[in-house]
Amino acid sequence: MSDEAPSSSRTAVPEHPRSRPGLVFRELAEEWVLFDPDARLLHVMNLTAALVWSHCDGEHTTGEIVRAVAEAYDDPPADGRLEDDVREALEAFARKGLLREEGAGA
Amino acid sequence: MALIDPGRDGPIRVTVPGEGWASVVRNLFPEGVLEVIVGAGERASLPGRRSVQVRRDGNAFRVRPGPGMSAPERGSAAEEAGGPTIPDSPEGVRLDGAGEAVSVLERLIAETLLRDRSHHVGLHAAGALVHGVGVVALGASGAGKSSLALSLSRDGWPLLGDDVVLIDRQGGARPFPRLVKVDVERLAAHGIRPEETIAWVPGWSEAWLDPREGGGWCAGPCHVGLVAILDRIEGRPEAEVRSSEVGGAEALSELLAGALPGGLEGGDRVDALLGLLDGARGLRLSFVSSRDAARFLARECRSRAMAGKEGAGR
Repeated sequence: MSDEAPSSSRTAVPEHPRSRPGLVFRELAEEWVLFDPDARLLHVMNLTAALVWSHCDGEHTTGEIVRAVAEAYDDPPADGRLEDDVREALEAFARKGLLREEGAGA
Repeated sequence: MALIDPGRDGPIRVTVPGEGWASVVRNLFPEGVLEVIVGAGERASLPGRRSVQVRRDGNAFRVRPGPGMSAPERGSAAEEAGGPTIPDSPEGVRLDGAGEAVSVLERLIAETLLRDRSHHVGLHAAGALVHGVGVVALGASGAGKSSLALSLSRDGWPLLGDDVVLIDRQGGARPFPRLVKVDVERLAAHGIRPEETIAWVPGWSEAWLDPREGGGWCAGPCHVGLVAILDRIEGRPEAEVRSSEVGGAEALSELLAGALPGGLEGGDRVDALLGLLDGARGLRLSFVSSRDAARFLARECRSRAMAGKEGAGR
């Protein structure tokens, strides 16, 4: 996400990432925002992060999300870069507690 | 003029220990919001009525919320302001000064009125309709909201509120009419002495002023064209007002941070605030004098109103 500083340590991402319930995702001008009412925090996303978030439905693996995001671009970023961006976005979501824990009920 | 619908349960009954109290408390809100009773308070405790009681406790006062008046919710703007909390108990809260008791009473009533506005977002903000453009001014306590509201009011602009503005589901701003509460120290900048105000308790650091002596209150909902984030700074009185543009996400973040507990929640809350931002300009404003800030905003609104007219004429 655009408001996230790079982190040296990797964060575990669930195999099928799924958004935590109760979060509010909206488009605002040419940005996307995700509001966490519990933490009263607003996260601002760039296009890639927003596309990744849209696929955090518990149905897609990380690899499938990479492919889905690539398909959304007319001219996807060069080999490997998009995958890195998607992984970084997913790790940022996990680090901020925006994803359901692995094994959490529906 | 019924500016506040007092809600399904009618006016809030306030029982105070004497006529002096009654004359101050009656003035806190527009007519019809409060029913002020001088006496022991038994009548105010009737079941099914919202009531609040102030009584003497030795040299101090005790404020006790009655039926239908629960204690202010945690995390509210009032707590942010550092005011005392009111326990939800028959004992209420003991306050040493009459001024403090009036302030707590006013807050309790305002928060109860806000809870009636379940289809709105209560924003911790000042607001006014300036040149037909709705202005919402956000800021932490002490950022200059009330001083700005007083300046706008005295310049003749109808207020949406001095500390609370209601935002409806579509993002329209609605007035939350009550008196403007200003620090006595700030009154001097407006050439007002505290004893000239409509409600003031000698020795208390705040006084209340009636916007009807200026531009009054906004009559109905209005579209917001300007969201200002206030930052009052110390400096030379003649220091210029400085402004910088604020992007949509930053403005939304400020609005969400300034939203009071209760009312619309979750996605409805975000959508109402996105509705407010639709077509609005965000500005961060640094100023020393609230009068200068009010005039700066008036110029901005005038430009915006004229641009709107030109656009419509094409």
